[in-house]
Amino acid sequence: MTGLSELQARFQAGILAVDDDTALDLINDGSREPAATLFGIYRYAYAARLVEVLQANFDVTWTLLGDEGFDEAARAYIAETPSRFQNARWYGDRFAEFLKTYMTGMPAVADIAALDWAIASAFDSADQPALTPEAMAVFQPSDWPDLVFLPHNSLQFVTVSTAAAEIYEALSAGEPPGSMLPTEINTVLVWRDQHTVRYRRLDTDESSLLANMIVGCKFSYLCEIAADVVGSECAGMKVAGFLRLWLQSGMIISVSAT
Amino acid sequence: MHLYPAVFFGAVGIDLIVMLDTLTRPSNLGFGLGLRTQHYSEVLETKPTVDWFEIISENYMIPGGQPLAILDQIRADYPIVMHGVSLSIGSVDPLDRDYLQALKALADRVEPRWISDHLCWTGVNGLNLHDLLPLPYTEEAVGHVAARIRQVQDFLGRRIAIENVSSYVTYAESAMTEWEFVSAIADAADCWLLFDVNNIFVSGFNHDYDAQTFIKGVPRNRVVQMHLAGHSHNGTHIVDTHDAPVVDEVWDLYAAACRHFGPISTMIERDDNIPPLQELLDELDQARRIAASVAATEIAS
Repeated sequence: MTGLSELQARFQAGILAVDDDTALDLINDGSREPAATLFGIYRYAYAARLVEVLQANFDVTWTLLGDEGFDEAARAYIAETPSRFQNARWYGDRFAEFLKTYMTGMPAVADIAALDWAIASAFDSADQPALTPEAMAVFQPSDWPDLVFLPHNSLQFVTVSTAAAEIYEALSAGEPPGSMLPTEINTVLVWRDQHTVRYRRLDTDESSLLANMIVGCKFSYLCEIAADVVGSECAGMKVAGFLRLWLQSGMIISVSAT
Repeated sequence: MHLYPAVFFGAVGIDLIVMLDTLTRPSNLGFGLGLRTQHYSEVLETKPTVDWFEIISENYMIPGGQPLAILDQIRADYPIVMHGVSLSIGSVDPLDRDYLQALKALADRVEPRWISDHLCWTGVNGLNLHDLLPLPYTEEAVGHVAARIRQVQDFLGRRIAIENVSSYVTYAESAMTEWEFVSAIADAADCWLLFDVNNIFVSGFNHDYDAQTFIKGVPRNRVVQMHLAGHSHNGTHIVDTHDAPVVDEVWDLYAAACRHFGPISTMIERDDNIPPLQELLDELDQARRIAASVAATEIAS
């Protein structure tokens, strides 16, 4: 008798490693097919199912690579990274990182995969009602220097080395991706505005201000950062302009005067 | 499972311990469909003639967003049952507490008529193969699975339903039939059964047993739901793909199941190659006709 623990360990090992046939000792030949063929159904289904999971989570990456290219990359990832997630929704968390080395010569692929993952994560992130610009009306001018802001939990920065936002937009629209050559490092912002996931490339100024806003810096400190770029006279208006944009975009869930 | 809710009769001042009747099944919900994203808009806009929907629990065990918002809307109009694929009730790994917490949180939100998962294991040693892997039909497995079902039921505070899975292999050490295995677990765990008619057809063909024997071999008072689905016949074996219409042989088995179990909540479960909603509604009408025909025959006799 084989104990249940040993049976499951051997059965699983046989699915994960195609050259491990010790599981065949556990099972009977069928009346029409030998044990190896019947066990092969599980081996085939294992990889096929996880490829489908990755297709669902990396839809635009799949478009970029095509069926054959995506299948090859996905199976390489699956072979290297068995799932440890109870819910298949979270399988693929390291796929973008994997693609950086698996497709070294094509950094756009890993960039698009990172965007896919960020967008999927934003899609089902926790619900948080966002503020509108009108919420700022309650604050007196004297409050403003001490205002701090809480971002929507879906907000993510994706650092890329290609024109990933533009490539992603083109592929999503069914158009050719355009140039996929490396560019200077840039940041794509991903967030969810009510139930719509949005993304856009950030310029350096906004990226710096937003990063500081997220970690709880006061409005006055954001103005100091802006002053280095536009001068102290225009800094307040510059930050206020971005703040209005962030509020209009559903990116902020609370404002308070410290 | 034994539930002992204390019912307080204020005027009389008596704490009454009520033990639920272990054989009182949830009421028959009628004819339902598996809720799929492809049909969200049409369901919300047209409110089709479906008595209830079954959701894949894991699809909604997420922090938030549109899927949960849509589910809330559909829940307002239809009864819901929850059907999981990742409980891994047969695994020798410890039960995943985080998973159970998320399942319970979803149940608190959805208030399903019942919760089900599969009689299988999905992985071991911390891994998950995301497949419904077969168990050996042994006394050890009966004891192991029944104990875990009881743990889950205690955690959720309700009985769960366990579904028979399709399988492609038989284990050398199995010492009983599949229906004996299913029945022994259901009795030992005091749980409900979700009877997948297609799965017994698939496994019956693959393992050369008479699916009718399976139907007669499980305790009828524990079956709360039936699944109907399609499959892929490869000549020497059948693969349970759930991606095609229900075949005639499965409809015949459904009629036999209706005769044996009586009126039971029944649904079409399509997991892949999702067709227009109307095609599934047409299949559901066929299920209705068969169930009605069986009922009429029973009354006449």
